[in-house]
Amino acid sequence: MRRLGLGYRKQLGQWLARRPAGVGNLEITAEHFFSGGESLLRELAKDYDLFVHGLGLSLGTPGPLCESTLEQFARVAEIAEAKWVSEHVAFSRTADVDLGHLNPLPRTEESLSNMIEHTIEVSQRCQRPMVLENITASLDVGGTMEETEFLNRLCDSANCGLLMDVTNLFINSKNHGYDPAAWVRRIDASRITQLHVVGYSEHAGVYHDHHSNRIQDDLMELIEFVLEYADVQAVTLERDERLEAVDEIEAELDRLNGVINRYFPEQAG
Amino acid sequence: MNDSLKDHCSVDLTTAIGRLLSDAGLRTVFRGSPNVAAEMINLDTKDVAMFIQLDISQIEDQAATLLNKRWNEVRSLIPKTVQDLGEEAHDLFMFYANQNWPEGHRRHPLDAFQFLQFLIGNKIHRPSGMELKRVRWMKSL
Repeated sequence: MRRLGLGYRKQLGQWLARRPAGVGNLEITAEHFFSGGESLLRELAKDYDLFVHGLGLSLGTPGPLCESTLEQFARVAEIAEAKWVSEHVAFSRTADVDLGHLNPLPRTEESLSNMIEHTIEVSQRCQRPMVLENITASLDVGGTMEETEFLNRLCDSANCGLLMDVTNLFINSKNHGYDPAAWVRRIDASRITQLHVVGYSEHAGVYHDHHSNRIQDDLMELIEFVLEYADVQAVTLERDERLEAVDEIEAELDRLNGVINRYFPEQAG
Repeated sequence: MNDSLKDHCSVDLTTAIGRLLSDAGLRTVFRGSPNVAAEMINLDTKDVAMFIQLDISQIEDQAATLLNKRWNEVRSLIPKTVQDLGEEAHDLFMFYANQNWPEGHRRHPLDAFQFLQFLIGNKIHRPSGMELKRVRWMKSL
């Protein structure tokens, strides 16, 4: 499997149908295919290795997972013949309210047990390996353990991989004031399976993940550090905005490919 | 309420954080006294210590992030209405959004539809029929 890929967005469909050389795999957002699109998924699966990424399972919510969401998620994973499935270490809803987006969890034993149980359930239901993504948030809920310990124990107990969002890590390190390389070194390298990367945004000293910018040099240094640290299986460029700038996306992929080839020379072609 | 019944009905920390993020009134109470907010929502006693240490400015930032993400999605779905409302559009949406939290994977068109209904119901604005039809169709997919 080629390591470099892209988050699939329908605006990129025509370009991707031409099989651009820089794209070896695609990450599909599960919820975008809950209401149809099976034939498109099957077509994409013929041309690319696919991963299925969820936004709405809310693994961190205490209590049972939403059965209908899980059923639809598993259906998308099956149609896509996903190499693996992924979700976030987060909650997006509670028994009271659907907050619609990702929120950080308390890093407690109770919360960890809940995440482990839900991760195993999703992986079993989808009959596929699972990887979990670290999120970015302005809120730090705190807890009885560091985020790195929480992630290591979660991946170990649920026997899953880590989808390290390097941009999220970079943003959190800036906004909450810590060394991202030290954070990476505390993570079990054998669990780091996939990376998410995209340039960050910064306004008035606060960093954001708008999924719209080119990868900045300081972020690229951190990506290289992670690639040297772990045997990463896939690197996914995540762009949600300015998708019409295909030349720019191609240039980003070329740049990432150059970096990946330095650490995984068997891929150089 | 006796202690055993109170324990039975108590909420966990994740639910409590969700309430803080979605309820501006509760955040106001929390700002005045985190302990009163914890009591008001009947937070599980084992979670009170962590709850009262939450940083209210971080909570406000996260709450604003949630609403802004919704606003960005909704304004892209109903550009004409947003343009017609002009400078008031953002404030009107925030007023509506603070009290309405749509559910499910079709939440963005549902949010846009409910916002249009809010504008119509309160006689604030009559949106274009085309936009109303489009988000009604999108939410039903």
